[in-house]
Amino acid sequence: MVPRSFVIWLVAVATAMLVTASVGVGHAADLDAVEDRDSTPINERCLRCHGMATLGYFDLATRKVVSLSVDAGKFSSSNHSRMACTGCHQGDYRELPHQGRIERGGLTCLGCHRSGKKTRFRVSNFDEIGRQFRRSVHFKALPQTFDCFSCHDPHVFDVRSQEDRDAGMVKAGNAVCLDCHDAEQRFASLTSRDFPSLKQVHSWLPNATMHWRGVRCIECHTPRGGEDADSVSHEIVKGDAVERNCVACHSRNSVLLSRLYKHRASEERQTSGFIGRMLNNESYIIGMTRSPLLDTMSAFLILGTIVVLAGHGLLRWRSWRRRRP
Amino acid sequence: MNEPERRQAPRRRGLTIGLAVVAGLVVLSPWLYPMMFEYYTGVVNGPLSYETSRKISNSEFETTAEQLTRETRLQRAQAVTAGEADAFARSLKTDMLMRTRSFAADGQFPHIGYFRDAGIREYDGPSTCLRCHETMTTHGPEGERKVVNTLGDVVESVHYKFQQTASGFTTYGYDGREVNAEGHRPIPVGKIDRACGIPGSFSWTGWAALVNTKPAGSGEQTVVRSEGCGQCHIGGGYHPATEKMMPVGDVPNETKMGIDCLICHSQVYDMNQRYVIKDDKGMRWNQDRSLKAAMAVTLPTRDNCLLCHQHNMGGDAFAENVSAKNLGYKNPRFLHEGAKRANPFSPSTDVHAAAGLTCTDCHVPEGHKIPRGTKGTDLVANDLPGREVSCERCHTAAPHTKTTDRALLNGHVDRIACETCHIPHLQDYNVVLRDWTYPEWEEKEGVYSYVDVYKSGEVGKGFTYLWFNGYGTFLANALGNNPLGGTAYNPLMDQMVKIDDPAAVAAIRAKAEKMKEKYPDIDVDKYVHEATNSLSAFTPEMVAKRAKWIEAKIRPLMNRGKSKLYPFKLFNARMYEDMTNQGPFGAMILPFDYATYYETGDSIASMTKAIQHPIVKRMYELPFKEYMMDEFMNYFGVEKWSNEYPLKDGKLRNVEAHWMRQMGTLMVNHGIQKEGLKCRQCHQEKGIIDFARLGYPAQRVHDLQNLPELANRP
Amino acid sequence: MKRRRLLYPLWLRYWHWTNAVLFVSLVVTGISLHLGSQAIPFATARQVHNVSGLMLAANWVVLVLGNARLGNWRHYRPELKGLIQRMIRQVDFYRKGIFHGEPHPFPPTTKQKFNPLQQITYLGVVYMALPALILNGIVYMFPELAIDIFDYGAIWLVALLHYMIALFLFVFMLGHIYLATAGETVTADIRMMIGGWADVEEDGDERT
Repeated sequence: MVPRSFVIWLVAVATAMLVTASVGVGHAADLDAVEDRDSTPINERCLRCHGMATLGYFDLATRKVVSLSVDAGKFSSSNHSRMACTGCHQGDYRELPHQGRIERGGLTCLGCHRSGKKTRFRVSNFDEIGRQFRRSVHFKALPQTFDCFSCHDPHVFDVRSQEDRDAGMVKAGNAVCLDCHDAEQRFASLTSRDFPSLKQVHSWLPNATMHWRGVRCIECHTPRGGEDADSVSHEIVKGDAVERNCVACHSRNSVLLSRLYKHRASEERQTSGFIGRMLNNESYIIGMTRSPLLDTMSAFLILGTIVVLAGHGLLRWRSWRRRRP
Repeated sequence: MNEPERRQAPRRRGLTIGLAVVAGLVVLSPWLYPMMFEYYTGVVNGPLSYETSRKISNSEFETTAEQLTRETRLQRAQAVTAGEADAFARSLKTDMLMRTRSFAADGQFPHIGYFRDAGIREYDGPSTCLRCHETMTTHGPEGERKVVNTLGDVVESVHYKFQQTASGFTTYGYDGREVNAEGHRPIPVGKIDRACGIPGSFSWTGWAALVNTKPAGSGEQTVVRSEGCGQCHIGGGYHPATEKMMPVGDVPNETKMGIDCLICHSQVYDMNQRYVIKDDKGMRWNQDRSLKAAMAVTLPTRDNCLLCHQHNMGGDAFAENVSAKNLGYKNPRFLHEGAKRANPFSPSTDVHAAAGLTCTDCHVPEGHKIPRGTKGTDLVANDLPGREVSCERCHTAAPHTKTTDRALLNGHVDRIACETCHIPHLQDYNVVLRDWTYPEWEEKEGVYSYVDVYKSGEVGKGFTYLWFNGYGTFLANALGNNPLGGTAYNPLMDQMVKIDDPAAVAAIRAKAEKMKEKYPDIDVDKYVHEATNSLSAFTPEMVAKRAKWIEAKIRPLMNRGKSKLYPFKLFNARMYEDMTNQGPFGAMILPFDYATYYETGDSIASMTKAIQHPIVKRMYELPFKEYMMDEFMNYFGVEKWSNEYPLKDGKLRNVEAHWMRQMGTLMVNHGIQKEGLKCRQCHQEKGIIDFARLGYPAQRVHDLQNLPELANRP
Repeated sequence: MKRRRLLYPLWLRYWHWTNAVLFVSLVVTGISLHLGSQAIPFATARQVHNVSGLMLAANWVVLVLGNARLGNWRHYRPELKGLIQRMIRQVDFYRKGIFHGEPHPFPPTTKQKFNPLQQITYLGVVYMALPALILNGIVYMFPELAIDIFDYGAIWLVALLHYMIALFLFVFMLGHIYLATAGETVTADIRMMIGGWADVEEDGDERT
């Protein structure tokens, strides 16, 4: 069971987020430049070209295609959709095509997402995320090239998709990893290491595909105890360091409770009604039918049977003794 | 013998006789089946011999070898020195090259040596090739090697069969079903049985014909000329490989020996040997089977492919069409003016040809199977379905690399096919409207000819831009929709059924007025109306049915996959149609007999003769109806094939002349220009792209025509 | 007059005891897996459960084929007429008669070795519960075969069914073991199941 205090805390956080989101405009003075209220016309102008899916060029130095395209549909539903393009991308764009050199260096997540600041952004501990990231296998292997944008496209990032119901959330979460780990070309664009086949490295895992559909990669590929209250751990660990004990998840005190299912408020889990309870109640946590109610009923049934049979036996034995000459 | 045994005896005897009959039929079937087949379909087979196949002496062999080597070396040397302006210097350089050892060692024909060693002094067709090449190794897309029977590989290829009964078409019937897809009865479809208004005939009825012509300059002398589909096709028989259409049986081996290996493999194939010959079995096409041609065997080059395929790309009128310059030593073939696609593949007209690319660089073969790509509107069989032939395979996803606009141009690739900008025009003899029903005397060739009512290579006239997702209808209409969706784009009720370019309409009217001189019964207004409005042949009810049908059955196909704008050559023909078999997309067109047509100019008599061809008659009988015609007509948008033969007691019934109910749209992919269209050619008020008809909403049309970025550009 | 007859031929006895062993194995490992207990290591329990399950399935096929070919199925076919009354008689016997040393109302004969209650229960167990459980267990081995329902995948339904049927069979097993001691003597039925022979009342039909 999730402690009651956790639930209260969760509700409090959610409320705080809502409040800051609705009244926080004034507090974020340094963001006014970014939060352009008239962003639409600017963005529309940019997207006329940058909305073309194949806008890009062949870079002669790297001999790779550099995409300059932004998916307008995904951007419009992303968390950053209300920001003007020029809020982040600063430079001289008057000429078409842009001749001035556009610097990419100024673009970082932490430029805006600073922890401890009261902003209208989600209150996340980005400093901690930074620390976790620097411990991750990605940073250790590619300290120069791997950054936030390697996984998170700021034009697409939509935190709501991560809060979807289980299946959607798992899909959205894993898509981040599979973008490279299931795409040889993209993988090769980041590192010259051998491309590991997901199937092969997970061959030890029974029903691997079912697991991938049901849980996120980070469920296993982040260290135990690294769970943060508000965001997932960014300390991605290598396969040889992950939990391989089935029972760690397939048990009542599943580690998944503090990860994949943590967003589920306990009231949601205790859906009223017998059927709802039977179905929802922890049934997924161990991949089987762990419904405490059902288990209790079963135990009663079994015990009851044994008592009845024993009683019958006892009566038989007594009547037999009575009838014995 | 006791009672029961005696009762058994007659039964046993009956069984034995029955089994013996069945066994006998099985044993005899290799002989019986072809006999019955030939009797039923009227096709003939027989041993095929050619005068060009001649045994030569050893000394003649050496002379020929020497001459062949020198000729081709000279050609190569002249190609190298062609840039030298001074004639004297050029000839000196050529001579020097000819004597250069390394230059002489390159480009030898290895078969000269093989033949010399093996004592081969005569080329006898496939049997000579198969002496060494009984099997061959094919290479798959990933380099997979497979050893196959060479003759079987050729016989099963589309180049020989002209059809396939398997799936793999990019074509959908008007009933919404993918042609020959899993789950319904596969029927043989392809060039062999697909009606077409360009040649005006089927390959059965128009295989080989001898025509008495009176060409200009011959006085009153009659010149016998050759005509027919077989002039290009590699099977040398008296008919296309009809046997291959049946679920059982095969082409007789003697007919397979008529395959012309050298037209694809010899570097000195003489197209002057391609003419119709007549023997006691019927008419067929002669071939170059000289040992000289066989000595010059290599893998197929561009020149080999273009011997036939320049006909459908550049056309006979194209100045560099080699076949059109070598018409035959006897019964010379005659030329056709209006071209099917009019986008020649040659160094002067195509940037890839100029760069020295050969056909098989893009159409990479696997054995004798040659891919035609994953997209197509026409109902042509595909040897390697799913095998890609595309620009992107060589050019990256970002093909524009030089100009400052490169990123923007690359941005267009998502919506616009490469061909759209890089084929800015077709040749001006591209035929758009062809009328077979009012023949006129063609003086140069001395025959009565169909009339090409309208020809144009210009955009909006001879070809147009349409959304295309890679699929086509049963009568070659590109499928696709504006990626924004909606029903505003509806080419089967708009672009494909109307000609409304004022210049085009005026040209058609002028032609109609000229035709009226010979055919006074032509009502010019009516004629122009019908030629420019394909739906005019329909009653209003039929038009309404068609519109409803399109939304119900075709629209979902148009919305499939990803659509891009492609250029499409437009074509329509006026032919006689069997109106009993009419649906909302057209009626069964009837073929013409070439000899009758060209000699007499009597189109009705010519059509009447062609439909009496045994195989056309069989089409109107029950077995064929059940075997394929019902299914065929379902795809056509007609519920059932009506068996009513259009000729009864010598009279035509329910046969009318009409334009087809929509223009065919043929992909054009060759004739690629290095310089594409310029921004303003499309992005302006009266640009060459009609954005509104392509289904863009009014605001977007306005935006696309008034891009602020282009304000300061020419 | 009673005669000694072979009621349970060797193949049936073999089937019965194999089944018993597999049943116990499945119950023990099943409970362990279900509770996520470490008493038996998870991986071991999983392995044993899977192997036992497959063997149980194979054994079931043996029984069904054997029943069909050797006529044993007749014992499972209840005579519908008066079935309820006969079942009540049997229940009454367990409720009252057995405590007074009354004779069994339907002692086993070569023609009908099951009493009416047994008939109904065994019919349900052998021809309904077991195949359902086995089928269900096989789907469990290939979870990707189960089609998706809601967001969750159908596997929860499979799991739930597997659990319920197994529970039912476990309760049945308890009753079955207990009633095995309720024969003519406490060990009579168990000995019959081991040796196969039993003293049965002579039937009219037996004489031919």
